[in-house]
Amino acid sequence: MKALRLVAVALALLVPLQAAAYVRTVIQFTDTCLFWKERTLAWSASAPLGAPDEEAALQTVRASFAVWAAESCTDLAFDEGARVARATGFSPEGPNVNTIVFRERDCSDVVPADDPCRAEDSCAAAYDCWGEDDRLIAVTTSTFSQCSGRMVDSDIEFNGATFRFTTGDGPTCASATETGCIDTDIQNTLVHEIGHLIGLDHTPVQEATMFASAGTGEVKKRDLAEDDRAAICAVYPAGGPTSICEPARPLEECGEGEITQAEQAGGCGCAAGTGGGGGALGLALGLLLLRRGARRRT
Amino acid sequence: MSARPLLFALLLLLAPVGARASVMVRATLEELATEATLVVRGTVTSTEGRLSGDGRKIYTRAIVEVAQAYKGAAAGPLIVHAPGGSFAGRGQLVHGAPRFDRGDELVLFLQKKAESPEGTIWGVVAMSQGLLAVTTDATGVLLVAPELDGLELVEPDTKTPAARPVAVPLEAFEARLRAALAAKVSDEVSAPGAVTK
Repeated sequence: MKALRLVAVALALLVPLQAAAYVRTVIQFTDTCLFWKERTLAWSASAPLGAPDEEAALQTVRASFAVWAAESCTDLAFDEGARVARATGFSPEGPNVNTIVFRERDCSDVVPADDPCRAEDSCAAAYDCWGEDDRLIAVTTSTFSQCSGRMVDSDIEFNGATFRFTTGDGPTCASATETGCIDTDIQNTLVHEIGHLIGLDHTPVQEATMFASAGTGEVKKRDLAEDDRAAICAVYPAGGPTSICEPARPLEECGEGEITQAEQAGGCGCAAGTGGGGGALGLALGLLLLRRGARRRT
Repeated sequence: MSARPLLFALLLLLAPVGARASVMVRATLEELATEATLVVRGTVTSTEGRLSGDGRKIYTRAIVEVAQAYKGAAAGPLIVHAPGGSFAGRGQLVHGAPRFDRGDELVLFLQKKAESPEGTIWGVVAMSQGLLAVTTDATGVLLVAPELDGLELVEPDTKTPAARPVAVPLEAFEARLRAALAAKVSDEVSAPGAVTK
């Protein structure tokens, strides 16, 4: 009898989990979530942006940030800054800005084999080229405090060397040369990547923008789904504290003293949504099992 | 019968599978074997976060002691670089990049990145798709499993989510790998003039 009750409780966890199952990005082998302390995040398009249709692409980038900012349950806002150089990553000396850039050529095509940048992992910056694997569609590089998880920079790079990015509407492109159609849609890709920029990971909810797939011609991620709204509302609630979870040390020891204890009490949303205590519990227990698996590695 | 195993299974079904965040086209074993110039099994003996030449990126430098080379020759410990890591209290996450931990036993598909005074520097083919963990199951059988944290795979043509590869016995994996490598050699013999990457 007790066994049946336990199973029933476990099955009941399924419903709220699917209703809101968003996942937050955590630091490797920890439960420390990444978060922004600021509620207005500056971003800049690189100069040039590097997309095939520069003006249309820039309008689409703006529209993509506006999608996340439009939710009334959050006061997270995005502020477009002046165009910046095409460098990504973080400089301790600053200034740093969250940069959007399209790379139009692959580093393997333009960097000489004996260039020292290959050993120093700096060819992408030196040659303004796509330095990751050519199968990647886009990549977000986030820099953060290893202690607190507070993000200080997050840049988004598009692999324009391999993929053809489009902005308009129409049928799905049938070939790489067809025009007036949708190939890899910029807004569909960028709204998803901005989710990573604010600290979200992939969700198991297939209808969500933060679900990990990007089919040719797909546009459903141009807008947010309920799961994405639940995420931004819970992590960055309007007028409320940012949800922070399990920093490696107390935040004041991480140099984040200005984040109050009350803000910490905002609770851990790591991998857990607000769709009900049951879903959060299920994920928390699931994560506990995963952590036990992860610890075998240490 | 205790309900605990059933509960655990249900909870595992509920749980998110790791932290994945980059979308990438799936690479087959044959593609990995073709693109890699060196395929080895080995153990990570150390890891270290370093700053890139321009000071803006962090990468991880892992030293790998080679137990077996399936393709190419490894004269000594290998230096392998991967994007992301931690340096001076700062972390940098490149979603989908391979991740190393001291003591990990791995199968690695590697490409030469550069020569340095310290030796050849290698990179992993296809982000974390080119890194497979070697583990031992409860019965003592060695298994090879993909380590795809940070990565979601999509099919090359449709870009719809691809089935996630599962753990297989090392012996079976090695047989598949050797077949893939032999097929590549066969292709090259039957296609004069083809260039090996």
